[in-house]
Amino acid sequence: MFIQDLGKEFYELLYGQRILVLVNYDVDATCAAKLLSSLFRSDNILFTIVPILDAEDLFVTYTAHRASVKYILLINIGASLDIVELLEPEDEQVFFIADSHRPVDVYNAYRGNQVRLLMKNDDAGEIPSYEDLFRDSDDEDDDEGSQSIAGMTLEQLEKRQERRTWNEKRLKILSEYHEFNYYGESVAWTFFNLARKLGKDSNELLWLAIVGIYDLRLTGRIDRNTFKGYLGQLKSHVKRLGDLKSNVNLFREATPIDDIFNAPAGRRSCISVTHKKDLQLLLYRHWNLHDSLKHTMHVSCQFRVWHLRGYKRLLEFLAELGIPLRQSKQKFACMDLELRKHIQEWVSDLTEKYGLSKIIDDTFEASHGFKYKFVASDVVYGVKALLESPNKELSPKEKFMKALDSLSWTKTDVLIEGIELAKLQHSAILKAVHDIIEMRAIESAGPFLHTIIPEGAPDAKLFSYPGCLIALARFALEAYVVSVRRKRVLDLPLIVVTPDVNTPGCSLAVGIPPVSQDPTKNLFGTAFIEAGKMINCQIEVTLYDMCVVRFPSEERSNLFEALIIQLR
Amino acid sequence: MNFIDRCVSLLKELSSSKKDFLPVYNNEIVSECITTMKRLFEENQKEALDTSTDSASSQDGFIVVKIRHSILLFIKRCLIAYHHERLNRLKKLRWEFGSELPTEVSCNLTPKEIEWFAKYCSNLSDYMGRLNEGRGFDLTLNRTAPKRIFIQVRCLQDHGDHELEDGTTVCLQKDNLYYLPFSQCEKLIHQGIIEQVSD
Repeated sequence: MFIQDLGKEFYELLYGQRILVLVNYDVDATCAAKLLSSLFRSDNILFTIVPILDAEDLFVTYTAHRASVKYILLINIGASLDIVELLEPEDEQVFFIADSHRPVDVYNAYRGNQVRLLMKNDDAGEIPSYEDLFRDSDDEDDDEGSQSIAGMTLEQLEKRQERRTWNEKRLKILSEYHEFNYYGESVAWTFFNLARKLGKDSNELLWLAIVGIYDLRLTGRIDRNTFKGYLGQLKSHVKRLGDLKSNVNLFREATPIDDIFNAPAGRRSCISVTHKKDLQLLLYRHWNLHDSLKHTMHVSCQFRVWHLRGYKRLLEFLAELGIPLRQSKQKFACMDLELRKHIQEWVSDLTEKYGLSKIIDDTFEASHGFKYKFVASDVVYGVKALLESPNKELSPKEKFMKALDSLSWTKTDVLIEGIELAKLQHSAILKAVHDIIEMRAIESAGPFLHTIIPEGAPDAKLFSYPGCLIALARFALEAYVVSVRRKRVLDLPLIVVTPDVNTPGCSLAVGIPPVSQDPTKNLFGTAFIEAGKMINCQIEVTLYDMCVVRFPSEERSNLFEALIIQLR
Repeated sequence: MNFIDRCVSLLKELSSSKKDFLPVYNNEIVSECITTMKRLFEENQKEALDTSTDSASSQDGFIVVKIRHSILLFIKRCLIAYHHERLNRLKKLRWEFGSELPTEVSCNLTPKEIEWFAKYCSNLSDYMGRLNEGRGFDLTLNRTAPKRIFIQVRCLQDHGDHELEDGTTVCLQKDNLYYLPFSQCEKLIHQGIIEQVSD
């Protein structure tokens, strides 16, 4: 069942109830959880937030909590799983699913009251009609009869034939429906809209929604056009909320002026969000210009910085910008003010010459007090790095809690820590891409390209997380395409396999679509599963993204063979 | 030191002590006061009953009686103030500590005060028992309105099912985020099972 009016059909049911919120490990879901927790707090709705790592974790957590809750909300999990079959819930329990993963499992759509999908009908894709999928069971009974064909009447035979064609049609519809994985609306955005309807929207909540949407954008889950649609709406919200008086001054008029001055600087004013055009360079506000340019995917691929010649061209670019090398290698915040002021203008003059059309784009910036200033994309990288931190001492749940903390404005030091981690992550990605290209480690298997991160590679521990792995795969494919310059590779998808350090004996594989095709549609989710069925091997799809799967390492070559047959 | 000053010192002694404490009952001054009052009263009575003197001296005698009487009233006022303040403090202690007083206070009480306290306790508990449609209600708890009813907490260890006041259970597991009634959390925080998370 799809829910259109989130306020009436979802939120109002929760007053005075307790709700279990299960959250996936991605930035959008984390933002959504943060946003919801502040909504729930304002209405005294009791909640429990639990991060969910994989399907088994989902089952275990649900079993532990099943006796004490009636309402369960899944954020970015579950739309593509048949929840009722997986968890076997009590009849009176209700599942709300807010998930941007598509396609939605057809059973979820037709489970009536028990499974309620918090998404717009048009956003859920074209779900096959009920008649095409299900038939009354009475028809099927006589099908089981052991009587031979010869013993059947003509009528029975006709019925049988008709059922067969119907079954074939059903399978065909289903396989078409499940062919591609793609993404729908950002869940943080969904809940921000709920907050707006309830009249509880504020700059803080808007900021969370912006970060959620940027997560979808930066992980390539939505394309440029969809993003433009969001941008328009975000801009108007930024303007509207920025004008509200309640947001301008946190303090009541009666507050003595001394109290305001004695309050910690960060608390003097609340968050303000602004929109502007800015450089799209990776974390450059917290890094230095030189490294940031080098690690930004489109800049790096344009210059091909992994070659010495490419790197020299990058230095040339810096020289033409008029930025001394020494300045570009020190922290951006410490660069000369004159340079910092004009850099955007200078860069925009050179974009055509160097083919860096993507380098200046829309950016949202939030500031809190006088000190803290963050742009949405940096926050996304920071939070993602915290979620996928390679720190062995922290359990996955602790990582999630840290990521949740980093979205609080009172705990910006956690976010800074995440940003430092993100720098490490991206350095490792660039290094791995460099190695892959230099060693010619990308091979063609016919219908797809593949590369394998060797066991025991020093950075393998960073790549054992889906988000980072996808980023690596995208970068590697982009780099490969620009460095081989053959037309054929434009149409080839890439599979990257890496050892999973968290589950010994297993590997993670990610498949990403070819450069020439729509990057948001991925057929690997189904392809991996089908290939797994073919070779009879247990393939576990991660909850993060359907296109990242976990499988026993020794099955790798079998899996590749099966995939070759599949994709041919 | 004249006697009036001693009377005032009785009150000063009480007001300079801590507001949530009851000092030793100053039997010495109180009994002194009472004997003085008795003496003054008797002298006054004698004067009033003595009709033998002539009118001139009776005029003087009348003034003396008046002065004595106002001294008497003054001492009485001091004594009442002293006892009233003590009882008020005792009442306050009842609300803070319950019917069991700390020993450093209870040893400072007079037998009369102890008797009064016992009566006050029984009255109060009687009243509280009748509240809330006969089910009783402890008025001494949560006397200031809480700033918020619920708080956001993070669980620090696997605790398993925990029953809340309203009879529902909540499953406490490590590193989950909860929003729970404040009253239930105090004890769990003390036990180190959960910690408060500010936002």
